[in-house]
Amino acid sequence: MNDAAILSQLTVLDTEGEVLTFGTFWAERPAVLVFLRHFG
Amino acid sequence: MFCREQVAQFLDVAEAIRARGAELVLVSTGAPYFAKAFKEDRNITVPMVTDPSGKLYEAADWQKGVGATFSPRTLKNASRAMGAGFKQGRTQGRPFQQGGVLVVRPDQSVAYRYASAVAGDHPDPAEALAAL
Repeated sequence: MNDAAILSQLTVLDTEGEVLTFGTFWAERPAVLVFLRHFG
Repeated sequence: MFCREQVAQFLDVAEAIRARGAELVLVSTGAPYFAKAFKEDRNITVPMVTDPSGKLYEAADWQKGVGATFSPRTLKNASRAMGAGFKQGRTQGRPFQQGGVLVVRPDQSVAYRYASAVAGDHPDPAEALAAL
């Protein structure tokens, strides 16, 4: 399983604290995923 | 300040990303309320998600550690960011975690990958755009 496939199955939180499956962001179209260090 | 700088750089190309049929997604390590405040303060309209546990960053194999955060290169990056007007705010997330950029397609292929080696090591957004 490649990186994207692994990442697609993990969950994240949106700004309201709702759980999302990360892979939904590129399920239908490409995604540019910018992983920041933190907010600051 | 590096996060603010990188967000600004990628928001500058957000329309171009959309025009190529893709979506820009910002990911961070802070709590959701930090993400919400950050998004509202900057009127960010692209999706923002958080990974407080760090498992996403671990799976992506992004750099972390004191050495990656306090490298001599970080000073040069800080000078660049401050010169562009960005200021350091309170750290809201994992301070020793570095990030990166991925361009991922629906077939799970990775069209572009950039791993930040040290704090403030950001790719040119044009590289990610070219991968679309």
